[in-house]
Amino acid sequence: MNDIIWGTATKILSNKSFEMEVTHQKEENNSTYSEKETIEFTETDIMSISTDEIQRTVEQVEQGLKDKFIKCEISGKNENNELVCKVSHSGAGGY
Amino acid sequence: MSICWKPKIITNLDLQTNYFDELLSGKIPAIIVPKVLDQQECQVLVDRIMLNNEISIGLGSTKKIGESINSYISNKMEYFKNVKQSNHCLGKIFSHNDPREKMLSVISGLSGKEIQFAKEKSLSYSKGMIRIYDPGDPVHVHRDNASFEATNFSISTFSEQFSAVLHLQSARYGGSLTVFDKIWTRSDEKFRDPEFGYSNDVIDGAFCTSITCKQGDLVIINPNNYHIVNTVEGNLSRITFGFFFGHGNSYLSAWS
Repeated sequence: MNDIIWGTATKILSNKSFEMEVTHQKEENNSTYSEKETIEFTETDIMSISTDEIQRTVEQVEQGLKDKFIKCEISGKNENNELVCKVSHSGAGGY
Repeated sequence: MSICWKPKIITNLDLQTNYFDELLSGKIPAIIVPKVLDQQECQVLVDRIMLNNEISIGLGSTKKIGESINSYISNKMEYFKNVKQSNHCLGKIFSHNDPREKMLSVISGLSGKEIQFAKEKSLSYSKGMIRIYDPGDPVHVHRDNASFEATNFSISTFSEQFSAVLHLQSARYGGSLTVFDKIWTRSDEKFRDPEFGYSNDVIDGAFCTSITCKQGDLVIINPNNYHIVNTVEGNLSRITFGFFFGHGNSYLSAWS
């Protein structure tokens, strides 16, 4: 089972990476994560973000992820020590 | 905020004052229109709701009939597909006496604008939601904000959002609505609960007012103010029917 963290995307860095303020970590996680992590995402369910990395723009990622509360399922780390994750929308702030 | 932060109770439709602007500015926490339905009308609807076999569990763990877009933020087509069924179900429950007609009429009278349920191209949005709060059900503090949370839906472009809730059955004890004098901001997302709503830390120190909801009353709030339904106690569930509405073009549009 992959480690899972939750939090808000605070700064969009590129069309596939962003900074995240981590507010929740799954109790069963194998590792502990910092309050601020850099995420490289390989997959997302956010509809406004193109699944094709070539067509995906920073603006799409800004609109779809900036300040949003999200869930990151961690599959590993890349060469820059960033978390490689599947990113999805998480829960709801209201009805 | 003064200690006189009380709901505006409308006894006759006063078109001289725009109470919706007062809701948006935070001058008042709620508009209450008493006795939109009488006791007998409410009881007939409650009986029909409780006999219905399409009650399911919704966001915040309350029982519900109807759909809300926030359950489908990443699955828009599924929303519109399921809404066909839920709108049909609501139509059956309300076939003899549709409370939506009175609610829309009251809102139109208060705002001086036409109101209708929203559509996206030819697809109908959900025409409201019945919620059943059973004794002991917890409801997290939350806010409702489609423009931030449901950006794939056309109703997210509306400049304002209001919540209209008709109280069909009041709890024996508890079940009051508490509205906080605190508007959601983007930076509050760090207080989110992974499943639904927010940590109570988000409303720490905020002024609030509690509204005891009476059967038949229509309560309208600015749902971008944090709010919470207090735990229902006793042997009666709190049963409501509600929807959101906002400014589309020159008229108001409603959805859930």
